[in-house]
Amino acid sequence: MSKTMRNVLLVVVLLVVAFVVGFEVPDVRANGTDIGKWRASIEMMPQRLRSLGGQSTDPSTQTLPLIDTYSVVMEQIKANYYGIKAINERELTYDAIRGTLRALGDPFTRFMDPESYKKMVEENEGNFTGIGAQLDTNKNNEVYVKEPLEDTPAWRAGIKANDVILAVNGKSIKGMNILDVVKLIRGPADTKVRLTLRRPGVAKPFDKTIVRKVVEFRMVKYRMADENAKIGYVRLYQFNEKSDQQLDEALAKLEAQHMKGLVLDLRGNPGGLLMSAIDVASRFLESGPVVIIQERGGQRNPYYVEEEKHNHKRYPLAVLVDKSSASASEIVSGAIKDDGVGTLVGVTTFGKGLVQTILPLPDHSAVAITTAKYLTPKGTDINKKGIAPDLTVEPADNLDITDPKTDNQLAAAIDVVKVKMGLLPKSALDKYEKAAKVADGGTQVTDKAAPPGDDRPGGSLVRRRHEPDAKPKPLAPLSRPR
Amino acid sequence: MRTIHRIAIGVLVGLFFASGYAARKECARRQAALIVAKDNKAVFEGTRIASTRLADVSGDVDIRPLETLYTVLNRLREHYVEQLTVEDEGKMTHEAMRAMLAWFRDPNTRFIEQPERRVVLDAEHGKFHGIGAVLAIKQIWRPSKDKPKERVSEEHLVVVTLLPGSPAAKAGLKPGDEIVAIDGRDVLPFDPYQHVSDLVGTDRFRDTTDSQKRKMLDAEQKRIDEGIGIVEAEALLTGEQKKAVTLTLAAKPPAKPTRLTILPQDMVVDVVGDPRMETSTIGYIDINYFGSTTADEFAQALRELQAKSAKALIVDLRGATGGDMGAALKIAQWFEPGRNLAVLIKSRGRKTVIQVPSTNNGEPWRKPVVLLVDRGTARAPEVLAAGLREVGAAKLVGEKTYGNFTDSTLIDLADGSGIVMATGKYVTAKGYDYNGKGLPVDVQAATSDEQMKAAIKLLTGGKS
Repeated sequence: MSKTMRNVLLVVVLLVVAFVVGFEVPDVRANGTDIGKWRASIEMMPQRLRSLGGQSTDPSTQTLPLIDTYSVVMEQIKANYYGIKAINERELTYDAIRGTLRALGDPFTRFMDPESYKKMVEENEGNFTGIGAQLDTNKNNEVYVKEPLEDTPAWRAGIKANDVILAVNGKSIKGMNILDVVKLIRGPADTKVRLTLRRPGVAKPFDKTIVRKVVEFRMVKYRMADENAKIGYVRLYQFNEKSDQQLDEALAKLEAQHMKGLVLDLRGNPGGLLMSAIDVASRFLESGPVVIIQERGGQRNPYYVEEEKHNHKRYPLAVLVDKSSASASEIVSGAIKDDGVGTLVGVTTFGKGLVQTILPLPDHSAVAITTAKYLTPKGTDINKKGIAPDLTVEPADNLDITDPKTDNQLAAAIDVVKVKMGLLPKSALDKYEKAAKVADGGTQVTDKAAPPGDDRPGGSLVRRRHEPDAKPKPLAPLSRPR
Repeated sequence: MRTIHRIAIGVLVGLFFASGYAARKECARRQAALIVAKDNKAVFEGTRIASTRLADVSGDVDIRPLETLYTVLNRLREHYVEQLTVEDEGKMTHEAMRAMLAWFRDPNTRFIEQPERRVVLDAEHGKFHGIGAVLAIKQIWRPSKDKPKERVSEEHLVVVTLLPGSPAAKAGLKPGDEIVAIDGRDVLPFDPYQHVSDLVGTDRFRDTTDSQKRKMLDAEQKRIDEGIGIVEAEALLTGEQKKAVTLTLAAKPPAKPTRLTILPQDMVVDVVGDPRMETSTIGYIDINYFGSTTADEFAQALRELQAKSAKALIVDLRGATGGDMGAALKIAQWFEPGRNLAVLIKSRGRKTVIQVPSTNNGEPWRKPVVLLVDRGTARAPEVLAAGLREVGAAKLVGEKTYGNFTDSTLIDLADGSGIVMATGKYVTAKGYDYNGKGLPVDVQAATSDEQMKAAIKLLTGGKS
């Protein structure tokens, strides 16, 4: 009995001891290994990051690999960032990409998020779907129609300039940003949009229902600038897929009015597609290269005049350029200057001698990468230098490009054409030259004549995708309409 | 029979051992969920991050953004007009991290280059560079004018405190001063164009002529082009460059902005000043910075005062800054061992109670304490002051503190650069949140003399 008791007691004690030992075991470990492990995990972090850089642990010899660093930092952000802003991985990554590209120090290598890429594609194609009204905000912060574009759904529906938009599809747009209003009005072709409008002189607001269609941007404006001398004026706004065709039509119409001389206005033209520039230059040059593309690695590929495009008579020609004439504008003006087929009037151009290729990305964003340089037909690199005009004419302080009365550069260009036509003596241009010398001794870029290195025509790169490339707008608010 | 008994007992012993082990594990798990603030300084020095289980997030990692970045990098390597080098990629990584973290528009979250990283390290050891002022980027959020649903921020570079004897202090820079320009270059907020957007929205702008508008915008562009980013400005003034800088300080109109020229210099600051007996019974310890040696120096100072049989203590935290929570905890250990000092609120609703370690290095101080604070008291010293005040261990005398209770973590990158990231916010153990507001004091006093007098009065008055 007592022996059984003792045995039972012994077992119980044994069990209790077992439980306690079991309970205490991790404690014993916690004093040793757990803290060790804790420390190890703390120390692991820098080591893990360090190991991303390579074998050496000397920080001064390390360079950080982009993808691995990004992954680690993004993981940390998602696990531990504490702040007001909710983490948006896509936006964070887009900014990381923008930073990556900025490091190259090339303003033309840049990232486009899906929205701006889509917009760029539309601009290059030269059309968009919508109603074709140019909108602006007035003094009272209301959105109004500045101008219904000719021959568009808005035009046909009887929308007039200065109509104030009150609502879109019955939804008030009061206080809304103009860009958001544009988004509401735009939509797929053949769908309807209902605008509520208030028209000056009409008592009650009224509705107009408009069917959205594909609207073409007008890339070209033209008129007879001098009726007596029959000097035509053609302004090209941008180089897209429609530009050359619209230029061709404009020239044909001016020729029908017996044009004898021409002013081509490339002022403010930020450029566009490379192929469009070659097409446009081909309207004026008879033969020879328009531009030489220098690929990565130094290989030079000249692009020649497309002779079937040279379907217009050769008239005395002046080309207006300014500091915003960039990219494709400089290809055309450079080719015309080197060939001598026309005279450049205005001020030194922007100086963008780089070619970008647009590469679409998996998520419908895209990246524009500078893939080549270009040189003028005589082999001049104009990057960061620009093209100096043959006749420097600084813009007058009150110059308004849409008002010929204030446009001293246009007046000079017309004089240049008149001299060529023999209507004015050469001395008629002296006053401009004198003024230019007073202004700043005239910055002239000398053309180094260098023969194209390689005669093979264009390489196999995706040239079709070559760059629109408006130069980046310096001030954000200026990109608002007006 | 006996064998079966033995086996049964053996199995039972095993089972009990296992259940004991399991019980302990469960206890440990629950405890760990509550508190992890052991006497382990490393936990508080920006390395805490390593303890986060990354597995928590790997499940929701979105592969698409990574794929986009990856494709961009590959395209650049293949097609960019210049062949990219390893150095180019290192630079690209830096700019990518800088831009990515700038997305947050958070003064406590940013990429830091190697030199700035070294400056942070030096500060931990009481070594300072530049003009000798602790600066902060003060951020103000307000609703956007043209997009009512969005908020825009505005950042100001302000002086939190001046290091004793620094060039900035000698030149007359004051806590609270706002630096608006350096060498004539405007200090630009995170979005320098916000100012332009605001300008465009004003009636003054709308009603003016087109050429006037153009002039105003050109002037703004020039200001931005020639300006200096606020983060860069802070780095310049606290970095290792030695050229004289001229600061323009904001003034309330009609007063004109003042200018100060300061010659930067390297300096070593006593993180803890020599202790002294302020009166026959009151000891005084001055702490200037919460860095890696602060706690040990404080301990030594306190022991000296104990040896001089001080009956009360004044700890001067005026102008004290620094982010070393380990130092704050070790100092708190002298007053309230084992108590909860604060609660750290982290992302995704996680909370950690910050517990003061139990004492193990001497007799705690149980006599009256006054902490002197002012608007230059920021970060770890603030957390310490808030915690000691809440448990009744100390009274606060002086001015309301600066109000930076954010917890930020430094992640070192392999090339010596780093990332600073906001990872939490400290509130008091009872849940009071003084972040952005500042910690109130028990006795308000404006000048240095008055503050000291008030402290002495409080300590002697308390006794009588």
